[in-house]
Amino acid sequence: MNKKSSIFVILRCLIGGLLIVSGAEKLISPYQNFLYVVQGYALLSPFLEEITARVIPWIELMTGVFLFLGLWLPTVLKLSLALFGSFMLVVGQALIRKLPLTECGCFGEFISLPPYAVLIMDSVIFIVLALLLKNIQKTNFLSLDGYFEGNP
Amino acid sequence: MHAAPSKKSSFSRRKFSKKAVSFLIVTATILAVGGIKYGLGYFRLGIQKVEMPRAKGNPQAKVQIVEYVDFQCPACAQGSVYLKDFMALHPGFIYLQLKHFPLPMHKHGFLSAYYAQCAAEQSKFWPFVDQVFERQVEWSKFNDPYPFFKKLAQELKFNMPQLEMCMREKKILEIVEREKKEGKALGVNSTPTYFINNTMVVGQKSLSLELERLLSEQEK
Repeated sequence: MNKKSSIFVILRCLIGGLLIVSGAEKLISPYQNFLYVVQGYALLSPFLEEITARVIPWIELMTGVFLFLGLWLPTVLKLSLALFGSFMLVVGQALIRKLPLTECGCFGEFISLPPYAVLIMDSVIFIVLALLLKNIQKTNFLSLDGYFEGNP
Repeated sequence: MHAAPSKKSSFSRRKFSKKAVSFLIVTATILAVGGIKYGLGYFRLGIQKVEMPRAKGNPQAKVQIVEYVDFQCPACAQGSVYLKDFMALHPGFIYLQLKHFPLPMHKHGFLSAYYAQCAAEQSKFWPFVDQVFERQVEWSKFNDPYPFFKKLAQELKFNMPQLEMCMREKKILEIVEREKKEGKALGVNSTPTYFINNTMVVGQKSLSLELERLLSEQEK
């Protein structure tokens, strides 16, 4: 494994870890806390807000686990891109509409980040994910995908 | 002599194994999360009752609400107005108890909780809280809100020497910290969080949906 590949692996694991922490925190805490966050973005009907609050944390956690372990990488990377793309849209519309959000609610009580900071962070992660997908061979190093394909 | 396994069968075995491993990972993750949630819930203590001065409404009401509040929280101020109007429209329907949950992001959250608790010691909790919420925008922007709270206490005819002494008492800090700890143990991490007949809801939108639901149930 060369230096370039190791950077891709580290980035993959970091983003995977971030999704794991984010998803796990929302799942372990009562779902009503994340529901309140979703309601704050004033985008969906009450029914869809409820569904979102219950489903998104699981998507985050599972995506994070599979990304970290490097399993089904092409699919998981595309799913991660969709996830972060939708986060950017949601936070972006909140900023445009000047909604009264003091923090994004993305990581529960672990980290408090204002919405504009989250938008910047999500944009950076989106770009990194796109690079990981474009360079899938390097991203595949030290992954379960690599193991099952008979690669190192 | 045994034939070497074909490349095709080795590939299908690995593909099957990959699916099996994926299934195991998903199952293990679900079980891990479920286990942690169950474990936390098992060791969770119930909500301790609040003393009378911080409660209002009908103690025998079918709808018992415990609210974890930060007096510098704008959403709590809005929730307070909503609940006040709701209780006026539907007298006897709700018994409301307030508990302290000052948030670290609000620099005057702890101080306002302290003053509110000392107001409760003089049975002036609700008049004080009403004013604190109504004038929240005014005092939140001060670097030092002490003069505001002192002036407010004088307007509400507090016993000022008793208030000064109360603000130095260790038990006030203990009450605020105990309720914050209790709230955290129940999974509270933002305000306002309400426990309506032990069902947790966060924010005014969920509060109003739950109250409307309970109201329509009662009317049936």
